[in-house]
Amino acid sequence: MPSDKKKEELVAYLDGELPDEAASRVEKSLVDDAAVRRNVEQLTKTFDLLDLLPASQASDGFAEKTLTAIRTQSSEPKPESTSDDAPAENARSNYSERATVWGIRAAAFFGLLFVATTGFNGAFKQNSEPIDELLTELPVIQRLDEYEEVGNVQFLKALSESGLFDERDQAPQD
Amino acid sequence: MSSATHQIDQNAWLRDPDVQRMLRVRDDDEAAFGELVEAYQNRLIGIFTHVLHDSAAAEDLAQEAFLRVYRARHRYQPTAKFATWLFRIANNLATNRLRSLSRRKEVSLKAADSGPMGARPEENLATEKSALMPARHLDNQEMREVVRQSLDTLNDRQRMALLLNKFEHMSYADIAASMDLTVQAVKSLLTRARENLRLQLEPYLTGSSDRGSK
Repeated sequence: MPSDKKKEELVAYLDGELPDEAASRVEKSLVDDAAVRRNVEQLTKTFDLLDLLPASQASDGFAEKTLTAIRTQSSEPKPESTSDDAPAENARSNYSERATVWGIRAAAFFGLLFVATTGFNGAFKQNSEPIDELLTELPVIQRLDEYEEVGNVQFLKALSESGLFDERDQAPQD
Repeated sequence: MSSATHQIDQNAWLRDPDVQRMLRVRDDDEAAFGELVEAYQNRLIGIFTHVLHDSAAAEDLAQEAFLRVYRARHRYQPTAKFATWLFRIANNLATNRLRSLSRRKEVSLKAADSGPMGARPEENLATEKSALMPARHLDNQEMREVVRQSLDTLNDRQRMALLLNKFEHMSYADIAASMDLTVQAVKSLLTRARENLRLQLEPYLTGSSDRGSK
């Protein structure tokens, strides 16, 4: 059984990848060694058996579908480059893309901040009017339970004008 | 490398007709892109089918490979044969797809009932294989299945290197560039792949000397 190094040489020889000197060594061993010959024959035959695998055919319209896909892509914003891309222009285009993205983010942030501030001020102003009204009517609110017991403001007025409960006319009693 | 040698190398790539087509694609020549699709669609789908055993998935990946080529067109600069670059993209796509399929398989195996519900997958495969053992002469269809199963016993990298070597007739250097490996690594991969294939198929070699070559 040939060593791993020897096996590598045999396979590379079969693939035409050996330099001339190494190829000559292999050819000599093929002449001298029956085991090597048998090994090479088996390697060749089993490799050839791969031709039995069915050849693949693209389905009808594959090319057209692919062209449609690229046309659709062309009308969409360019995605970020991938590691498969030819590297030459990647660095420059990446910088400008990043600058654009950060610019958009900054604009969105400040826009949101503006809307939030404006909205808050507007909401604050709108909410302060009912509060002012409440403050004005606070004395009434504080005595609301008593006023509800009386039930009738006209009656209260009449009672007040009657002088019945006027404290200034009553002499102190010992 | 001297500038003169570098210039010679550049010219070698420029002589590749597909590099010329790709340079036209770079200039938004859609017809040139269509020519590349026609030239490589079956080859790409073939490689992906052997790797994924799913012709629909193979077509999806082939289309994705072409889309990536198209997206990169404005930045294209020929530093290798066009096929080397295209199959590098293909190798990346295949690797990613196989990785995600194997993760899904791990999840579904964990979730599956582990109770004995019949023959285990290994037992089924053994039964299948014994039906195809060379006790009798196999017809081409059976032999095709044996060959396909033998290819499946290779690991992903061995299989890809072998497919590029066999069906794309790529040199070791081109395979190395496509798979992001050294030439020595490719040599080792191919040696192990060919040796594994030999061991799997050796029992079937008797009487097969008249088939294999189309």
